[in-house]
Amino acid sequence: MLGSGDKFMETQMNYHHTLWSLRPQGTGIVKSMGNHMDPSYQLRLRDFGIEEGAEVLCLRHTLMGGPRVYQIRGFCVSFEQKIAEQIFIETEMP
Amino acid sequence: MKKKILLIGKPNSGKTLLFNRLTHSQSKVANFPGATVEVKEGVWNQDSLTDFPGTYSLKSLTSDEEIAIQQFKKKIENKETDLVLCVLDATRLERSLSFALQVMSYLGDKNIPLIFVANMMDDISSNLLKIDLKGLSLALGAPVVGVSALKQTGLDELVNCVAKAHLGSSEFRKIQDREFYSLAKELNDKYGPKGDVLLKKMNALDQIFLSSFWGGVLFLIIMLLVFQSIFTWSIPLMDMIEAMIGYLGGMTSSLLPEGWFRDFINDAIFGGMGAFLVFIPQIFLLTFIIGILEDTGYLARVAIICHKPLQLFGLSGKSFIPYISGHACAIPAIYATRIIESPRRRWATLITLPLIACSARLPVYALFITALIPSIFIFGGLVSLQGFTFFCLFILGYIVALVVSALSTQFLFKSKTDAPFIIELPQYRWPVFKPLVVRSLKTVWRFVKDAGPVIFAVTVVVWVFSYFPDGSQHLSTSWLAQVGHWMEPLVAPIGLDWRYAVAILTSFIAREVFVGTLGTFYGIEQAQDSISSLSEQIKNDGISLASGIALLVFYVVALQCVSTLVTLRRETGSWKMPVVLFVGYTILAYALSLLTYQILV
Repeated sequence: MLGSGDKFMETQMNYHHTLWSLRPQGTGIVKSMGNHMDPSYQLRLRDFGIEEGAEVLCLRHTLMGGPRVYQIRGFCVSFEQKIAEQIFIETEMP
Repeated sequence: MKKKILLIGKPNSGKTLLFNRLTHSQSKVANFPGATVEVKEGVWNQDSLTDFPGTYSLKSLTSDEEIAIQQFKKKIENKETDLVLCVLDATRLERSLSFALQVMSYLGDKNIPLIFVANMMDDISSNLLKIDLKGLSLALGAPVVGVSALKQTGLDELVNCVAKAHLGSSEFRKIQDREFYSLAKELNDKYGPKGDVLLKKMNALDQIFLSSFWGGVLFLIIMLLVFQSIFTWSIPLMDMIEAMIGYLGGMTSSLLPEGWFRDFINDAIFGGMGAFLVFIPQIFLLTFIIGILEDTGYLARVAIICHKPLQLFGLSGKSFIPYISGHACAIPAIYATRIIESPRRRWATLITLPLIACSARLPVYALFITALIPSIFIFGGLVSLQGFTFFCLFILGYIVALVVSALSTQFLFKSKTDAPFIIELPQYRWPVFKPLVVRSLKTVWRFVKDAGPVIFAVTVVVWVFSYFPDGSQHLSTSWLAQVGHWMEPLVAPIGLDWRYAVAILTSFIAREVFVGTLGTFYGIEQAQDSISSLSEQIKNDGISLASGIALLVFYVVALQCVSTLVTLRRETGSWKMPVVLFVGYTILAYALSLLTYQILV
């Protein structure tokens, strides 16, 4: 368990966001997936390289808030908001 | 001894192209994930080779994956397999390896040899990258053969490897689910290509094609160009075929003695069948251009661009992939809907696919556009008015499809839950023109072969009933005229006469029959020795613009294709959907054409 000092360090060093909140060219490390996500989708996301510790780069946002494009482990994949909001990431403080 | 070999891999790893190369088949290949939706069998050097739809893991999410996984496991469990070929995409090795490890773990102690085929090695070498195939093979405990199905390299080595497959060990260790991905990363880091040159190239193009503004603009421009080119580029070839049919018709007439046989050859063969054959260049161009879109990798980008707007109407961005295929033919497009994860969005795509203008609608559209729309250029001479009208008819099909989808998903489909939209972006590739031309020619040939006999049979029946009892130039007193007159009240409100009523009736078998039937009627009526263009004859007959447009609107909406109905029945497992769609779209088509006529007249 983290002590209060560690907790302070964690909030200073990291922002906890979802994949959807990443700006183009922003990177993050996958921390977890939402509890409400269907297990079969969790499995599919893992097929696409989304698992704890994976580094994700947001390549671009698209028209009208459409699916966004991410680079994960040497390939590009696009997720819509509903799923990207269920993937929690850690980003470095700007 | 004849071996039973299974070919499996991730979507878009080039499996089907490899299958085609090995078995000399012509199965459909395309550069987007999920192009193969059916299990296919072929013969390779006397061995049997089975190609499965690509799957991301051995646990399914979409219906095409379910088919692949179930059948793959069944063939393994029933001991119907002597060897498994697992295709790896060398340009995305880590992703392919996570699947390859699952296959390996599943085969475990089943004592079935496994060979990994690292495909797309041409992309690796052309970008000065390297893969340590030997090291990877040692680490995996199974042979890894580097090939390029596209350039046909490494295939001999694969043949040798398959011949020796039974000699090695065929036992693989069980790997825990969580280990697949970390192990794949480890192997890729150690043996895979270094650097991200391929990704950088792809991202540079995506900057344009997926740009928030230019992505949408380019998409509209590309679609407009596609339909413009189908109309304008095919004209010289169409004129040539028309002139050839006219010449042959005239020559045959001059050789034959006067009488019913000469009239039959002139009216039914050159008038009816000839009117249909004129449109072959357009069907070829449509298939060819759709093939280019499929092969470049652009369709996956279009799915992303269109997802949000299509979602508003209950569809998915992936619905656009079957929609685009549907412009060539609705039947493969019905199968292509299997790539849509969400049952609700897949259902909405299925019921609206018959509204997407297929190549069979093309002759009807082209005939009336040529007859009624002046051949002038608009927008500063950049766009032909005829091509633009053609584009508008295609767009009208989409508009009706969107409205039908929005209403039906809102009120008819009970479940409101949806599977999420996830799509992998394939590398951009230059289309390879020779196979594309061959594929387009085969599509045209299949179209002629399937539609030809139907059109011929209907044309003969139509000719017999419209020629007798009074012979040539007496169409109005023929047997068919009597039937037509009973039906005339149905088409009179849109300003058409009994000939159109009969032509519409016959086209319920297949849309393209309409052109053949009208061709036969005009042939009998004019009793000319030379065959003049059907569009000219329609124009001279004095059909009004309002009636012509109303008729086109009817053809945009009506579901007049027996093959589509049968395929829908096969795909949904019941006649309910095809029957409801047939009745519903016929009523809607009639109502919309009436409305159009009332507005325009």
